[in-house]
Amino acid sequence: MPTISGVTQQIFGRKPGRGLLLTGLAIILAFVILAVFAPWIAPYGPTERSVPSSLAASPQPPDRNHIMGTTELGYDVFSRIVWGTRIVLYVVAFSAILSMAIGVPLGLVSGFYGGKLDRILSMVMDSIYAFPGIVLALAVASVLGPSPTNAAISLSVVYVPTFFRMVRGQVLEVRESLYVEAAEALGYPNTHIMLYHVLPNVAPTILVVFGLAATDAILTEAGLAFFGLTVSYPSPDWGLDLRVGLRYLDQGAWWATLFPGIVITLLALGFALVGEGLGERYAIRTER
Amino acid sequence: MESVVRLEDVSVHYYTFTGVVKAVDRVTLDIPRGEFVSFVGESGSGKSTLALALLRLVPPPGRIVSGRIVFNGMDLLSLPEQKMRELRGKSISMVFQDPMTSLDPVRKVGEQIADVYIEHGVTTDMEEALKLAREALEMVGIPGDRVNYYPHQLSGGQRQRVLIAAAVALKPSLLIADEPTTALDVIVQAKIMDLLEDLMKELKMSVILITHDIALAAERSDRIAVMYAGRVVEYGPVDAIIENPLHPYTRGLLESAPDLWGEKRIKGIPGNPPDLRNPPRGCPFHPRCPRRFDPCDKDEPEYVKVDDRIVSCHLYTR
Amino acid sequence: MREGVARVGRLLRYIVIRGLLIIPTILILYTLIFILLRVIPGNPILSALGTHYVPPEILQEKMHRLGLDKPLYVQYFDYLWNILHGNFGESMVIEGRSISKDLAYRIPATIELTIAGFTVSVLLGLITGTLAALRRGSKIDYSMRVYGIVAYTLFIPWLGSLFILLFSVYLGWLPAGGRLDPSITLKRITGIYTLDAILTGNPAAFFNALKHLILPALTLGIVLSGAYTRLVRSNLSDILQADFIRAYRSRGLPETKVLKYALRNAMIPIVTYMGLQLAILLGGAVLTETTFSWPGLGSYLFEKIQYRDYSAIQGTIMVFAFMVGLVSLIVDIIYALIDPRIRY
Ligand SMILES: Nc1ncnc2c1ncn2[C@@H]1O[C@H](COP(=O)(O)OP(=O)(O)OP(=O)(O)O)[C@@H](O)[C@H]1O
Ligand SMILES: [Mg+2]
Repeated sequence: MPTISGVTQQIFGRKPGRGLLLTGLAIILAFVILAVFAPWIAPYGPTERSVPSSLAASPQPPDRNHIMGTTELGYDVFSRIVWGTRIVLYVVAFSAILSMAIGVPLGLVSGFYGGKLDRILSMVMDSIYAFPGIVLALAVASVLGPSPTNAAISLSVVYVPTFFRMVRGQVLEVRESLYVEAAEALGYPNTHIMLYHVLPNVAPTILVVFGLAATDAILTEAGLAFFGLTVSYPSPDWGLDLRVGLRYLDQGAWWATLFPGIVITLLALGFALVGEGLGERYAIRTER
Repeated sequence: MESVVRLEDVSVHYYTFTGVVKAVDRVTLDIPRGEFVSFVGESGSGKSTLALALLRLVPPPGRIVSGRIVFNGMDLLSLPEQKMRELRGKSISMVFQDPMTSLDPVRKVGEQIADVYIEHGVTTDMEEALKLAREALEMVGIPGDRVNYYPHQLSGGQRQRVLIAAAVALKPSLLIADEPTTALDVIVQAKIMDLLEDLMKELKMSVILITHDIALAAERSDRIAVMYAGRVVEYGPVDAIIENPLHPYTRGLLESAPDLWGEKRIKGIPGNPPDLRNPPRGCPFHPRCPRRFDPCDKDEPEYVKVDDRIVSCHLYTR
Repeated sequence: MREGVARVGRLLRYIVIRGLLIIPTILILYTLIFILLRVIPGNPILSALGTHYVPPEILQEKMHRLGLDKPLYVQYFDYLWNILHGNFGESMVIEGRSISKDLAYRIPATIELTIAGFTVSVLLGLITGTLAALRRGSKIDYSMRVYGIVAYTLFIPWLGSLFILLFSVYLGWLPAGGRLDPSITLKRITGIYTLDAILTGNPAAFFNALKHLILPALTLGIVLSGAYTRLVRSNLSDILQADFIRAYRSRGLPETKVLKYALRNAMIPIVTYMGLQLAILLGGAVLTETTFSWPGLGSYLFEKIQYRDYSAIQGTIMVFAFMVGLVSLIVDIIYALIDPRIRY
């Protein structure tokens, strides 16, 4: 069992990829803080009309009261970003947990036992994997209807194969190794071998892939939101705000698209850096 | 005695994160024209680095930090890169250790030989160059139609022949072979060595062979240079060195090659070569030397001439 | 000569086998989508019509018209049979509207955009990756690595909006959307406008279409290039250390030639990667199209999702599935052609 100091050593220790890892974690942590403390950080409510109605017909540029400007309905862009963090993190975290919870055990079992089940599962997973993730997520989400939970489920459909393929591949490699053979020779039951010998060995790779899948998931979530499939306007979500902002672009209202876009990319970057840092540390090369 | 290449005080260092590796340290010697000279030494003694220095192809973080390499009257180290490039493959060629990885896997072997003719201006016509490549292949004992083969279609020995064909295509005056047979099985090894010797006579080349097999060196060479920790510790005609090695390290090497001296028991040299980032003071061999005495751990021995040999050891400095 | 014929024969066989292998992939996706759209409880027509009240007779008639009243397994094979014949059925929302026609009109636009975006991404990836590999450990290498990571994390509509803002709104150099100005006439042949303009010898239309293509292609290309930057960098710097590169240098080949052969070797794994990247390319195209009002499959999907036109959504997704299958086949073939070590 890993100890607390062991874990901190893992993350903060002077090892390759430390800078990337710490930067990424700092970015993610900042967004978590935004989400948790949204009511204290956001100066306005997400759908609060925060400008006099005479000005409310068109988006207003940033000023002292609205550091990122306002939207056409007089909503404060900064406040909406802060509140939107909650939706984004909820969808992404939920989908990440769900796709790991399904993909990792399926990959373990499939790779460990092999046989017909393995072949069929692999084929299905490969087919989904080869298909454009966002298109699939859009289709599923449009059937399920717009809601954050449904968006998370749609994202999981896309990312289960990512975890499945990676874990399965690793299991096939680890299976051949000495300690698994030794454990088998000692007559340990399969579940024991999987949990105590195979899983710990594939854990670093799972983490790296998690970083990359989360990066992807954030961008796909933003895509779903852009299509109006996570929340219904005027509930705040970064991708949706960006799309609404696009309408006012030709009036020069840059702030309504610039800021929501920056946070999407920044959060995605946070996870990408974590994945990258871990990859460098454990010298894991991935497809992406 | 005319020399094909003369090294004067050549040093090559690798600037690594953990320190400066003195891979070649102030080497001075003459390679006589038309002779077969072997460099022997343990792994890591700097043989390959020295060979690459002759072509000015030491890879970063390595750098030739000092010295002169005089080839046909020119100092290679002060030539412009363009001139140096023209010499490579034309006047000085090299054959590498691993024939499995030294050919481009996605180009036909004929094309890779033909490159040499085109880059060095023998012809501009690919057809013509391929015809010459065919002849070069036949010269090294491979049927000419193999020009259309990809490397993976040839055996290790055949690939090494292809590499030799490309190296000697323009009849260089110096051929450097860096452990050309290490990756091959014994029978093929002998054949490749025979081929090198034949080509040397036919094309009137000088050959530098790099090997850690002193028996092989003794069998094939005119001269032997023994390297230790980046230094050439002894250099001279092969018979003299075999009969009466001057440097204790040379003696150690010979003692560990049983078939040469007919010893019953193989005697290794105890200990390991030093860390080249931090070599010992004085003579680099002194920690392992059975005959070390007073000055060995203090002063570095100068080169001394003993008959037609040079040696770097305090036993001979006074 | 005879060897050449045999080679072509073997290649054809390889193509057929590879082609057969994509059938299960497409069937699996078809089944998945079918289950998703038809089997999951909830009446798609009802949701397509929104929350309005619909008289039962009308609903019944509509279900019948669209074949939704048949048993599921019949629907499954009927629809499969139909789409294999290029018949994607009828819109659930606009009565009598053929989805096949809509799709046929939109596919070329998506192809044009993806090819352009793909080209931009590969070029950018090759340039940045090569620069990084040649100067490994330098400031350039470092900035290219950062580029490789950041480019991948850019949200396409955002990057697109920045381009629109700069090049359309402020500078007024390039259009913010569409494929062709209404004032320009162009005879439609393939539906790929730049190509049609060349085929009909219409320079005005060509440059106009190109102007419309630049921003979308650049947006898509930049985002996708990050992955190539990293791949080219790591592959090329491995290859540049390879023995055969040193051997090339030892024979006096100039650095430009050495780099050329190194790149040729580095490209082999990258071509495989292009196949994997395809999913991301098509997904990116969907967002790019929506941002730039590019009338392709992506913006079609966007519209149909807004109207919940499930038969159109299903059809679009099947087209995507076919495209994925087809292009991965092409990638396999290219791979076999450029790597002599592949046996076929
Ligand atoms: N690219 C490099 N970077 C850093 N150090 C290097 C590099 N190449 C060689 N060295 C170091 O230089 C020293 C000499 O290496 P070299 O390869 O010349 O030895 P060698 O005598 O050819 O050995 P071997 O018999 O194993 O081929 C070694 O200590 C080695 O670790
Ligand atoms: Mg060597």
